[in-house]
Amino acid sequence: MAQKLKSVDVVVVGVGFMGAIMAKELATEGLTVVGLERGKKRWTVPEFQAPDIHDELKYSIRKGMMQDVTREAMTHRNNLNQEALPIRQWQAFLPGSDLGGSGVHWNGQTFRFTEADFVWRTRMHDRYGKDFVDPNLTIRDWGITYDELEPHFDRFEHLLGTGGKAGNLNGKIQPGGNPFESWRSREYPNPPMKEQYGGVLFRKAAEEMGYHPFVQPSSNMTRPYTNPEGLQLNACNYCGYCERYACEHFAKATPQTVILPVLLKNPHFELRTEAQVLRVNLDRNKNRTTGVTYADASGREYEQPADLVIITTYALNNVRMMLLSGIGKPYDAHTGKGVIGRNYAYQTTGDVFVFYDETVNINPFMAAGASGTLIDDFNDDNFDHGPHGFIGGSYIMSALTNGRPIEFHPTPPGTPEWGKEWKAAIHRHYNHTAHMLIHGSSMPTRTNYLDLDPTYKDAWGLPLLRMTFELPDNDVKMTQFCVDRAVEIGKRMGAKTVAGYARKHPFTTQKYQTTHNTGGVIMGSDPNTSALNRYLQSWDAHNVFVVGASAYPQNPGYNPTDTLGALAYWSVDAIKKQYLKHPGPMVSA
Amino acid sequence: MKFHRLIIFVIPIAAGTGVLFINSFAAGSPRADAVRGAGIVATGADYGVVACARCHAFDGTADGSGAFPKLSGMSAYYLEKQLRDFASGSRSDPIMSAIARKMKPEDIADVSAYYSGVHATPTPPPAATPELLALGTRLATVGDEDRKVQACEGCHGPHGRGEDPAIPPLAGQYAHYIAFQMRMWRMGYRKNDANQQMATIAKRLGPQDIEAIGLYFERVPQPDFPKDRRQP
Repeated sequence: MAQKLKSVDVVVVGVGFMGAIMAKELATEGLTVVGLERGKKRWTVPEFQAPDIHDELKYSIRKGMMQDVTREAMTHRNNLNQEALPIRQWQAFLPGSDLGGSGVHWNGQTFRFTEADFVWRTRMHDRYGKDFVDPNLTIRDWGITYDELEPHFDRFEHLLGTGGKAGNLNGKIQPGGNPFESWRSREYPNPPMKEQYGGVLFRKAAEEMGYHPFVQPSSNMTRPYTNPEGLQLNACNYCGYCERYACEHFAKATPQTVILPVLLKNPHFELRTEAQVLRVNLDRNKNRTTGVTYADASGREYEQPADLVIITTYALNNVRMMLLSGIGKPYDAHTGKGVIGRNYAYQTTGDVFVFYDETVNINPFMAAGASGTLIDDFNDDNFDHGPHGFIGGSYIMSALTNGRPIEFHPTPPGTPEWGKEWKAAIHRHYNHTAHMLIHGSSMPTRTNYLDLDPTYKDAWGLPLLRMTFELPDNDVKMTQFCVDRAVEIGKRMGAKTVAGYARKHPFTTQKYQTTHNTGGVIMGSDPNTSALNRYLQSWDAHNVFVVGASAYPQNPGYNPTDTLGALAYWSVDAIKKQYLKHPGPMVSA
Repeated sequence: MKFHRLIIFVIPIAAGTGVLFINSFAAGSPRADAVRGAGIVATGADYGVVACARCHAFDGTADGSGAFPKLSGMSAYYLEKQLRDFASGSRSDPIMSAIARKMKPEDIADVSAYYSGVHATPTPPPAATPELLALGTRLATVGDEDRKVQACEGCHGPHGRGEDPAIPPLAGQYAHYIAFQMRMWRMGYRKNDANQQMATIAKRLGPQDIEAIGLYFERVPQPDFPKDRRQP
């Protein structure tokens, strides 16, 4: 029997980026807030210091910062006819754990979604006609517009200290920025990053071909920065240990550097670590939460009553928490009915390697997680899809995030995969290879979804999340098209050999792609096809809010974090201004 | 540990500090002439360049006062950059600025090549209280979360051995000199590093922290030399 604790105003489940933002805003309002974090505390000093933090084997290969699969794994199958099996080693995507969540090991790539993304279904139908879109794709509008989110994008980017060059200031296109981006109300808080040498070669070729290269917006600091919370960050020194690692240098925007120290000083906030939330509890009528039940490190259970529960446990875990708690009707792929678990999407990626002769030194180790030069010409709805037969797109970016020896050994096609020749080829190509990332959209389908696994359970005896996912044909076509464009650029870059790898069927969990899992608890304006209203408030229990990329109805070709931060500020703004005064559904169903 | 010693020149210097090893890999400029550099170090140049050895000694140990830094163990790249910065005014010092402005580009390259290959004489460790040493050790090797200061050795290398060629070694450097430079960074008189890293960090440290960091590093023995250096 769980021990019942003293009631609080708000419980935030998961203290990562979004949990910290929601908790900080509500604690500042004077509400008592408890943050329940399943992992341990960790800080820049001492946990993230060198030389340990540069241990490639520990962090990149053995996934030292990720969710512990021996306690909580998940299962995957490619289609409804297969039996799903547990993922025992994270490879395709890497959900983080411990204080700060995935916000500690992210790269800092900071893109806004566009005006078109938020009205994607309407836009596709208007521009290309209803018959153009593959009927198997369940694309949706978000129930919110870019213009409504703009101030919140701005706020989040200033929290992070993002460096970049605006391409569109209040509707006026700016030289040097991305001309395809949607309007922004002011410049980035910091200037763009330095370009890698591969990026310089890419920029030249892309410009010659009439494209519009720009430097990737980055939340690795480009100069010393004090954010609006009063926290100081250092300038990045381009050591190249961002993705899968934590920053030792106070130079990457993470919860630890941009918000947690302020949150923890707030007397209305209490952090409890190693608190594994088992479920969000509902009252008798099943339309209101009464709090949560969690287990501490010794397995002892507690009931924490609260008036408001905010779930911020990463997209995949958000879906699982809703299913375990019985909030919202689970999605049924056979009937297409139900809301929790639907519209699961991912990111469709490809790679292009540009092999130079030995006179061109690329120096892959001179990099930061979000340094890169890219074009947006083939992303989103930035080009006419009419002749191509697919929707969506990719950015094409020359980027290396470091040349770490275990992971980085590019060799041209035809090289043996082991032995003397392989070793010689690595030696020959290590410092003379540029890389282009094709980072593309992912469209939802009726049969790509998340539910609870019927067989496998976690360390607490609860069912694992089951992922049913295969790459939609639309996305495979898209990625091939964009890889072909990137190969053309690679040839223009003056390389001897250019090798392109587009994503192909079947989807595998055993090859790294991106940790951009989206959907499953999507937002929208229709309670029959979405789990949340436009304020990220559950249609089914008005005092439950779910903040995560789980809210995305489909995933555009941009990295998801900036939009996520904007949605968090948008949601908490509505809670502060409307919900706290009149608790209840903010949109009538 | 086995080093590949690349001894190109063995020069007996009349002034008598013994045998000097000159390491070609530490060179910043590809055609630097360390032998010519040794001449400038010993006698200066008649267009206003004072002999470097007058303050820094032939083996780069300087005079032990801490007013002048040890130069041994620093990469030629780093020494060249500092001399160019003194000449251009992006780093300022009443003595060094005047000298560096008189030096020709090849003088800077040659002197730097020379000093990057010398072998310093060990100096006795400075006295320090256990409290100060503990503080210095903690800041240098672990950092301080409250003040948002990372470990010095995160960039300056384990045991302060430096990260060649751009980040200088601190091991064995005079505590007085380290503390003096930290105060210069903190007060904004020195700002010739990449992205104001040192200024940002120094501003978060108090006088005692700075003294403690200096004492820690002076007591770390300079690594054996020449090091297994590699120019990218």
